[in-house]
Amino acid sequence: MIKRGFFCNKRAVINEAYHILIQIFIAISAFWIMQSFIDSVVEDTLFEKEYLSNDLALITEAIYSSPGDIYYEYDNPKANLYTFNFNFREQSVSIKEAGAEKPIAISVAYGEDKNINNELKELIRPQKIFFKKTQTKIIADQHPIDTTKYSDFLCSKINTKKEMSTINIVLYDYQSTSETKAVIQTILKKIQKLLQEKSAKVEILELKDIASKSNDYDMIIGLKIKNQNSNVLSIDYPISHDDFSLRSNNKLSCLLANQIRRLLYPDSLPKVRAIDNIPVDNKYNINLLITLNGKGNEIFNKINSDNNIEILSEKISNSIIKFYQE
Amino acid sequence: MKKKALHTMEIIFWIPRIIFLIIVMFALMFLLRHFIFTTVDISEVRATTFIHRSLYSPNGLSYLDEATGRIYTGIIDLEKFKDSTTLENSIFYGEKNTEVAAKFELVDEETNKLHILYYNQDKYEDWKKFHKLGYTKGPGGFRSYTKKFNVLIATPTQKRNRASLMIEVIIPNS
Repeated sequence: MIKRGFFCNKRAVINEAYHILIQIFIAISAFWIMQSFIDSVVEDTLFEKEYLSNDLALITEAIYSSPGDIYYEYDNPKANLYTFNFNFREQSVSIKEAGAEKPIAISVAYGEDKNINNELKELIRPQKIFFKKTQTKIIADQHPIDTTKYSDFLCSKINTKKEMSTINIVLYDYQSTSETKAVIQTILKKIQKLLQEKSAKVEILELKDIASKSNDYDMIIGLKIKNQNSNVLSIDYPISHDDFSLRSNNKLSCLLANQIRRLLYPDSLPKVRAIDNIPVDNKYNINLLITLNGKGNEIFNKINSDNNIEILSEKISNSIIKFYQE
Repeated sequence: MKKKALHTMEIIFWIPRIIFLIIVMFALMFLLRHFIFTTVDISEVRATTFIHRSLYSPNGLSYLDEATGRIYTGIIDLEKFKDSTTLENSIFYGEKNTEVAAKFELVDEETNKLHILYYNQDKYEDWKKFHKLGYTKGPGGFRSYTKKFNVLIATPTQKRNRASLMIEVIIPNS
């Protein structure tokens, strides 16, 4: 008697069917194994961590190597920064998956500058990484660090100390329009008042009158509001072969730039320049022209709003006082 | 042939088929893995960054005008160059630095004087030996990058002497 069961059927075609079923089963198993392997390759984050850690270590090194201040926003849409946690510790950048049960961290070393304070810290799921480096510190954060992108200029340490009572200052209004004249005159008068309180002698003159007056002025400062296609502060002084004069003008320009831009130009770098066509003759120790450039009436309206005329006048006079105190 | 023998033969024929299937699967996995890179070689970039940092950073070897805070790239401050702690403090990888080692040779072309500065001197000497022996590839090897610059030397007497600066940086592969 023939037993019934698999492969024992009388009809050969049913045996064939069993064979085909087994073949299908083997094919599906092979497909499932290959698919699992490919899925594991896709989910693997080793390359992203390796790439990001190397990239950030190099960026940190490059930021340390900059001669001046730097503000840098790091973003990498392809690497999905928000899926990782970043840690800057002990001269290395380490990266691990955020929220994983057993995260595997990849670390790459960078050289720290011991002369600068290190405020690099742990970042949890950042969208972007913001770096800022100044003369005294380096910071990394996942939020924008400062509303003012640029920190203050480091001004010359040249000695310009003098008693305020011995100083003769002239202020002038340069090429103001009928619109801006009143504002400029108000600012100049307030500056005059603040400096006279410190015993300095201050006159407000027309440009054409300056040359005809005595040469004994220590400082000539012009002020102008100008329509331009961008908001930028310009401070110009004459090119001089006298090194002390050049450095003194540069120092006062730097002090003024640091003060004025925080009020009116927080997002742009000022232009401080030595030029050869300054409106007043180049025979005075300090000879500056401050131009407040604005897109349309933007800066003019900003000066006119709130208490900004007072504040601007104070900032300019404080810069002049500080110039003669150091 | 009897039915049972036929079935047995079929099963026996399946064995090599399954073996070949396994071989093909492994071959595919191997090929896929072969084209996946998980490491990135950035040793040359690191060497270049190190050189630029030593020259252009405010706390590096270049002359810094204290009055204006400006770095004069291309002018080497001899006092900083002679101080071995200048770079050790400015580029600090930790107490045991196994990342970078370098040698700076500054030749004053006017006085023909040679000044040498080492960064991570112990490691530089060890790694240089291995590099000379030909251990340059793979883990345990070392790569050397050299750059030469024409510079000026800022001396304490305010004189500027023409000089050449050769920098050799050695970086381990792993």
